[in-house]
Amino acid sequence: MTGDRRSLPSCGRCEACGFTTAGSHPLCTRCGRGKMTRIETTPGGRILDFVPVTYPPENLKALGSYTSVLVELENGCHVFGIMLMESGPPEAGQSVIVSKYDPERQELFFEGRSAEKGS
Amino acid sequence: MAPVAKSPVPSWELFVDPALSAIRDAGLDPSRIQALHLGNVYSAFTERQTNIAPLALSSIGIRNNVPSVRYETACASSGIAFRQGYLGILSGLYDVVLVGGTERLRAVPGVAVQQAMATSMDASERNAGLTFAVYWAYVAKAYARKHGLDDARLQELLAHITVKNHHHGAANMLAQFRKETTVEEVLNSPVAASPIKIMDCCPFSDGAAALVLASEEVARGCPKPVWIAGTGQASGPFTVADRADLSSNPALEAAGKEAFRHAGIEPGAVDVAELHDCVNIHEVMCLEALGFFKEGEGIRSAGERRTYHDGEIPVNVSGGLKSRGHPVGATGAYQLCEITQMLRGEFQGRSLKSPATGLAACVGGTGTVAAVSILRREG
Repeated sequence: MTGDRRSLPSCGRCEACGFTTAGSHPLCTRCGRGKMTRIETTPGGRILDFVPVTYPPENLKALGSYTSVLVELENGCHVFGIMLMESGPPEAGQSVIVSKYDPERQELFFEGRSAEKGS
Repeated sequence: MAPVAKSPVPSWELFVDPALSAIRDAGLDPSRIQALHLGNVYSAFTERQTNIAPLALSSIGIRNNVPSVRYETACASSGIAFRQGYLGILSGLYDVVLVGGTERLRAVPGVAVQQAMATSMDASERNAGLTFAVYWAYVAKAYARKHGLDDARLQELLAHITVKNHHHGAANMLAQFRKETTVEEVLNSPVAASPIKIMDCCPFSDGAAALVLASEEVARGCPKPVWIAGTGQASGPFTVADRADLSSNPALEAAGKEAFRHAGIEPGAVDVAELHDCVNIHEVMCLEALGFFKEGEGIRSAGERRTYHDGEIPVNVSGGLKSRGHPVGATGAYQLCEITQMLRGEFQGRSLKSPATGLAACVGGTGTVAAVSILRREG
């Protein structure tokens, strides 16, 4: 799958405790003290866990079945995304890259690193 | 409590009988009610009606200009409505308040309910493919990894919880599913989101339940009062991806600690509990977060019959969300009504060993809000 890689989720890091999180928060949601500074988001990451989805919700019905993935981005942020089942089920630890992110619909798609090279 | 069954009337009308029944049960005239605290979550989506607290008040026929508030904190809504009513009494502002919850979900297609329920989680995560079934699958996987369980063992242990709750619910005349089930039936049910199966999950339900809360002075004049020993409430992080450990629920732990501190008792002093088994793995998390079992032991509790009605800590003797049903905004109120009846020895269901102290815990969203209440009978 190809997509727009120029858009990526925004991420921030706490100046006090170093916690990283997606989204924009003025204060750290973990320590509650530090100011959050926006950090660069790169499209790569690794799968922490995944769940194959048998019954997609209405907003994703067009996808048919998909796999939900919990990904740690290279900047440390954890995000959920959608991995399309193009080449078998994913594995924990697998390297992935953002294949498409729609900031308005907030749909975040990943694909395997090898797929990226071939696209 | 209304029977948990498909309701022919809207949620605000469904609340009328339980409310009047609670007021009668307290031996009070409806004119004594000074406020209504009502849990309801999805009426805007499923009934196209908002502002339902005064509507419920009018439906009951209480027209004496008393304040009324609707609480929406997902599945914890009426647990929190109860706590807010209690705080109103504690503050000295009120002597008698009506609390409860009402929900009608089965008048619209299941897809509409699913869409409505999805709004109780983080929008960005929902849009990125997270559903409640998927969330609970992540939770179950995290728990299994932490405690060295493979999928087959995890599913078998979880199935015992469903079997136990159906065994309890089969004897509860108000329950949505009054039937027994087996481990095999649970294990053979379709996968919702691996490793979670359909029979691991509770249904959507219609229902309404109400309680009258009163100051000590008023309550002493009421028949068979049950006392509020302690309550706790907490919120958790809204985004799921940021949590370091999905197999625990910090909000529930905090609410439980507050309730126990307030009550001045330890978990071992609780004789019966109604816990939030929206998915059976969550009963496990409740058992451990509230200190009834050590980490890693809660999942074996049903299989070892320790949480059966005749076990060491009876849990979900109503049938829980799985068998009694889950009328979302009313579920916490059902739990509290059921615990009250159990403490009074009036619960129509599986027998109990005369409990003196009971606990109700409900949790909303993806563990984002929790309410815990501890009740005790006199003497």
